[in-house]
Amino acid sequence: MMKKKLAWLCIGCMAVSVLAGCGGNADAGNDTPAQQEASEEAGEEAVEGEADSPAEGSGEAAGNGETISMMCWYDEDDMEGVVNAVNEQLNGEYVLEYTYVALSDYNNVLSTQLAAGEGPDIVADETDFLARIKAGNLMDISDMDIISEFSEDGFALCSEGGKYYGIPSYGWFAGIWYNQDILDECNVTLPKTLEEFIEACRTIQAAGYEPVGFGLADGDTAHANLFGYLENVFYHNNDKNADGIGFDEKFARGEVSFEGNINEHVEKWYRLIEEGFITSEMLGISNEEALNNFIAGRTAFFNGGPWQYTSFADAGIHFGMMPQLSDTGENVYVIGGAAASYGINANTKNEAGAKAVLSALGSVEAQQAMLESNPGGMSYRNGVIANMPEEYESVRDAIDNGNISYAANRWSVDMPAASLVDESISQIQGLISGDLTVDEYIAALDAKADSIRYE
Amino acid sequence: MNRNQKIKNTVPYIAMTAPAVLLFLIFFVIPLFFTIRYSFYNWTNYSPDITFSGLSNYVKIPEDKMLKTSIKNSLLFATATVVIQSVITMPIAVVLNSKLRGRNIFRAIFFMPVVMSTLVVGYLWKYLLSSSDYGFVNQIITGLGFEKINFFGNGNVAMWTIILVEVWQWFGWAMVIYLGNLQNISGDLFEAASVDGANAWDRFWHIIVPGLAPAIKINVVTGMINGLKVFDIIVATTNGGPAHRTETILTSMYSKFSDGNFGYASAYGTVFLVVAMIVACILLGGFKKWEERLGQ
Amino acid sequence: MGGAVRTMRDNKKKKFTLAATYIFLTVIAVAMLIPIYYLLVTTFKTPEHAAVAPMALPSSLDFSGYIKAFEEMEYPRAFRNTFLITLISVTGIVLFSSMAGYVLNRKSDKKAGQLVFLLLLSGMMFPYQMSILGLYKLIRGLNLMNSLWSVILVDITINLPFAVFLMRSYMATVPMELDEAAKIDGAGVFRTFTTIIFPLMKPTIATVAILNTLNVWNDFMGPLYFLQSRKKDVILQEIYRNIGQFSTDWTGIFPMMVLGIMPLMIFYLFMQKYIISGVMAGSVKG
Repeated sequence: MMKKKLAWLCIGCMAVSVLAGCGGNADAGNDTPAQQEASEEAGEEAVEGEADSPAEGSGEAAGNGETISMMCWYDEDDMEGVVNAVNEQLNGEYVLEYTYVALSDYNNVLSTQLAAGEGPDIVADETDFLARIKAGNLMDISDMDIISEFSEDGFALCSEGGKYYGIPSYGWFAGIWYNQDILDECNVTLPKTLEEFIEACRTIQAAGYEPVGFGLADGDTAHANLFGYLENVFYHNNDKNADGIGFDEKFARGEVSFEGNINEHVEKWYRLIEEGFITSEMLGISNEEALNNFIAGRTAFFNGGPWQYTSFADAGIHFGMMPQLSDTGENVYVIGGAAASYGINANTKNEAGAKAVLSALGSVEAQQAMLESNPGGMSYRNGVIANMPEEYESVRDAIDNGNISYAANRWSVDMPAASLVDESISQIQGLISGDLTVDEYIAALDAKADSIRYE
Repeated sequence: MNRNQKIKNTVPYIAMTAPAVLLFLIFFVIPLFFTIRYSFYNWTNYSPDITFSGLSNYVKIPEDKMLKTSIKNSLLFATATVVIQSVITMPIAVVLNSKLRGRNIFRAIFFMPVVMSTLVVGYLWKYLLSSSDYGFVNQIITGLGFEKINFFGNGNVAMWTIILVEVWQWFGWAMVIYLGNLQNISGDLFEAASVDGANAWDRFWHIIVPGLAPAIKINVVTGMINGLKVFDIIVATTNGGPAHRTETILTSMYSKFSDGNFGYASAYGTVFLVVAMIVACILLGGFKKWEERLGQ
Repeated sequence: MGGAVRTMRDNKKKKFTLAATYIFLTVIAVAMLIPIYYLLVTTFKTPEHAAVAPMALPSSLDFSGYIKAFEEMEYPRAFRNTFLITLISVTGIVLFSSMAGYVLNRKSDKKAGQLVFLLLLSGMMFPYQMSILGLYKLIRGLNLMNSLWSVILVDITINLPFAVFLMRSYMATVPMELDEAAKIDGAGVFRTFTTIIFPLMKPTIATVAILNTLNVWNDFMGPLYFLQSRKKDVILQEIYRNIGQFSTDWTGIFPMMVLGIMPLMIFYLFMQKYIISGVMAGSVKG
C-alpha cells in the first residue's frame, strides 16, 4: 500500500519536473539563467527522489541492473580491469558503463554537460575537480564509509573545507624514460643534471640515435619536461624562491606572476632547444609517433609515466625511468600527485546506484586493477599492494622520500589549471618554432592566468 | 474575394513552411537567444551563482588575441579554399565537359574524396604529412633531395596545409557544380564566339565565367559556410596549433568553453554572430549586384 | 597544299593538346587516389613495414585487423545508428526544404515570404556549436539526451537553410503556369505541390539528398555532445574513441578508418554515375 502511494508520488514528481524543465527552457524570455537553473534544480531533486525512495521505503536492494554512467580520459583497455572489478561487486544490481573521451575534448564535454545540468553519474576529473566542487556539480560524500579507507594525501584534489567530494583513482608520477641499451652502446652513464643530460644527448645524437623523443603536434611532454625541471630548480632546492611550492598558491590568486621569477630557469632549459635536441620538426610529429620511436629503440629518452610501462615491457626493450632534470642531481623530484578523482554528479538521477558504484570504485579490487594497468603507480587505498618494478630503480629514492609534486595541481586552488596547462602546451610550440622568446612564453602564461582566475 | 477565403488560401502556404520554420526557431533561434542572453551574465564552471554582469564580458573581448587570429584564419580558410578550388576546377570542368574519352572515370575519381568523412581525411593526411620518418610525403620530398617540409608543425605553413587538404577533399564537389552549370550554357554561344574569332582566353573570360555565375554563387556560398564553420579538419590535424596559429572561430570558441567561463564564451560567440552576419550580407549583396549587371 | 600542311600542323597541335590534357588529368587523378590507396594498403601492414615501404603492396592479405576493428567498433550497432540518423534526417530535410522552397519562391514577392527566407538564410553562416549550451538545455528539457532524435532534429535544423536556398533557386526554373493550370483544374496548393511540383524538383532533390547524406553521415560534433551512451553512438565516434587511445600499433587504426568510410564509399562506387549527374542537374538553376 505504502509502496504504491510512493510510486504515485514519484510519478507526480517526475511529471512536474519534466514540465518544469520544459517550461524553463521554452519560456526563455522571462526568467534569468539563475532562476531557470533553480527551477531545473528543483525538478532534478524530484527525479532523484524517485531513485531513492523505493530503497528507503522497502529496505530492499534496488537497482535491478540499472546503468550507472562514468566518463574519463583513461583508455578503455586500462579501465577494463577496474570496470570489471566494479561490476563483479555490484553483482548485477547496477551496471557501470564506462565512456572514453579524449583528454583534449574532455574538459569541454564535461563542462558543457555539467553546466546544462547533465553529465555522467560518476564524474571523474583531475586538477579541475576543485572547480566542479565549487560549482556545486558534485555531491558531498563525507558520510560514506569508503572515505576512511584512503590516506589523507589522496584527497588533495577532491576535498574542500573539510568535506569530501570524491575518492582518488591512483597516484601518478612522471619522469623521463630511458633506453638502457642505447646508453650502454654510447657509453653514457645515466645523467643526473641538465648539464650531464645535454652532454649525454650530444653523444647519443653523434651515434645516430634520436636523443629525446617529443611528439609535440599533440603531446604535452615538453611542458612536462620543463615543469619537471622547474619543480627541481625553482620550486625546490632554490633559496631565491622563499615561498617554495607556496609560490603557486600566490600565483593562482594573482599575487605573483611567473614573469621575473622563472625566466632564468626557463632560459637554462631552453638550451635543449638551442642545442637542437628539441626541434621544430617535432611540432609536426604526434606524441604517438614519438612514443613508437622510443618503443622501436630509436630514441634514448622519453618523458612519461607508469601508464606507458606495459607497452615498453611488451616491446621487450631494456628501459628504466629517471627523475626530472635538475641542476645538482640532489634531492630530485618526479612530477605527479593524485590522478583522476571519482565523485558523484550532484544531478545524478540515481544516487543510490552512484554511491554503490563509488564504493566499488574505492574497493581494494578496483584500486588494485588500476595499478595493474599502471605498473609502478601509487595507491592511496589501504590494503592495495603497489609493487614497483625494477625499471623504477632510479626514481625509487625520490618516490620513497615523497618527492612527487606538480605545479598544476597547486594552481587549481584558484583557476582551471587544465586550461593553463593547455596554454603552456600551445605556447611551448611557439617557443620551439622560434616564434616566441622565453620572455614572451612566460608573458603568455601570465596573460592566460590573468584571464581565467576565479574571482 | 472575401477575407475568409484569403485566409483559407494562405493556410496551405503557411502549413508548408511551418515545419522548416518551427524547427529552425526551436533548435536554432532559441538556443541562439540563450547564448546572447548568457553573454550578459557572469557564469562560470566554478561557481553555482549566475549573476547579471552587463557588458563586462564584452569589455574583455578586444584584449583577446585569439579573436583576431581566429577570425582571420576562418576568413582566410574560407576565401582561399573557394578561390583555389575555383581556379583549379573551372578549367578541369571545361575539359571534362568536352567529349573527352574517359571523362566519366576522371569525374568519378575527382569526386571520390567528397564521400569520405572529414575526420578520417584529417587523420589520414596527418599521417601522410607527418614530419616524422613515417610521413609518406616527406619521404618523397627527402628522396628527391629536398628538405623536409613541416606541414602541420610550421606556423607559417600549417594553415595552408589545412586549406590544401580541404581543397583535396572538396574540389570534386565544386567541379561537379561547375559541370552542371556548363551543361546549361548553350553550345551555340561557344560556336558564335569561335566564329567571331575569339580565342580560348576571351571565350573563357567573356562567355564561360559569366555563364558560370550561378555555379560560382553556389560554390562561394558553400565555401563560405564551410569556411566559417571549419572545425573537424582542424581538430583532426593541428587542433589549433602550433602556438594557436591555426585556431579558427569554432576551435577558439571551443577552447573558451574549456576554460569554463560560459558567460565570456557566449559573448565571444555573439561577436562571431555579428561577423557571420556581415559576411553573409556582403556576399548576398555582392551577388545581387553581379547578377543585376549580368542581367543588363 | 598549304591547306594540307595546315591541317597536319593543326592535327599535331591538337594531338599535343590532347596529350597534355590527359597528362594533367592523370596527375590530378593520381593525387586523388594515392592517399586512398595508402589508406587501403596500410591496413594490411605492420607499422615497420608501412614506414619503410608505404606504397608497396602488402605482402599478405591478412583480414584479422579488419575483424578486430569490426568487433572493437561494435560495427553493426554503430552502423545501424548512423544509418537511422542519416535516413531520417535526410528525409526530413528533403521534405521540409522542398515545401518551404516552393512556397518561398512562389511568395517571394510578398513581405512575409522574403522575411522568412532571410530568417532561414541568416542561419546558414552561423555554426550552431556556438549556442551549444542553450541547445543542450533544450535537448535535455525535451528529454532527448542519448536519443537518436536529438542528433536527427539538430541535423535537420542546421542543414535546412542551405537546402531551402537550393530548392528555392531551383523553383525559379519551374514555370508558374503549371501552378495556375493546376489551380484551374481545381487542385489545392498542397495537391499541386505533391502531384506536379515535387516530381519536377527531382534533380535538386537529388542534390540536396546527396549533400546532406554526406553532411549528416559525417557529422561528428552532434553525436559527441548528445549521444554519450555507447549504445547510441555512431561510426565516427567509434573511430574517434579508438584513435584517441591507440599508442603502440598505429596501423591498427587504419582498418577502422576504412570501415568508417566504407558504407558511403561502396554506395558511391555503385551509384557514382547517378550521384554525379544528380548533383550536376540540380545544383544550379538552368
